[in-house]
Amino acid sequence: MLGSYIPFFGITTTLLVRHGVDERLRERVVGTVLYPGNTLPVVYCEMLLQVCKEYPGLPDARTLKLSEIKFFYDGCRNELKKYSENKNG
Amino acid sequence: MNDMSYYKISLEVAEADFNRFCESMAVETDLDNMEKDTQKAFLENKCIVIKAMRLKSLAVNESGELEFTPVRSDNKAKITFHEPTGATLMATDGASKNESMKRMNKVLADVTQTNEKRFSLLKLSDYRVCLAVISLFLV
Repeated sequence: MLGSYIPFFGITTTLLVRHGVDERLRERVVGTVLYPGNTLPVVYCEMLLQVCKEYPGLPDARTLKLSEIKFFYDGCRNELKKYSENKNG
Repeated sequence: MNDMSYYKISLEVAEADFNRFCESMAVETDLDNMEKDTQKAFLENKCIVIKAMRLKSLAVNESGELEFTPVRSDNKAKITFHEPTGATLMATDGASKNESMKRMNKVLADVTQTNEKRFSLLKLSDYRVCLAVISLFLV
């Protein structure tokens, strides 16, 4: 029934930091496990966990809106890039 | 059939309302930022939402949230869509990945601050509008 829709669990335009750059996660299969691509729950759950770690003074994480999660994650994006870049080149 | 005898609101007004909703809910509208599939889905969902706005079953309130009045379902009480939160992401934790409708209803229930049963009792055409609205939040 969902047909051509990409509902709430679909691909989002927001990117996560990986290896020092903003990266779009690709769908992949490892063994029998399917890792979804850049879907909203995957991306925003990781952003929410990161935001909770970086900003201990934030209110209840459950009350943060998606735009607020993105705002706070963007605040530490440069720092994350710096610490996650591949030092081996 | 005359366009305005079927629709209650003009296309321009509905589009202006849609833009106001996108702005206040931080919904991504820049097609260049989207992948091809997402672009297609966004445009389809936008069409459904604008059509519902023109038929006055969907309206944007003062806070920029969408309010939907079911047309064909028995329960015609208004459903207000708030911006998804961290709790929305956690709402699906209990449901297995294969139970896509259950997960979707949990998300809808959280975003609208109602219960899952409300959505399982909606008629398909009303449910379609709700799905289109929630799908726009792929920010």
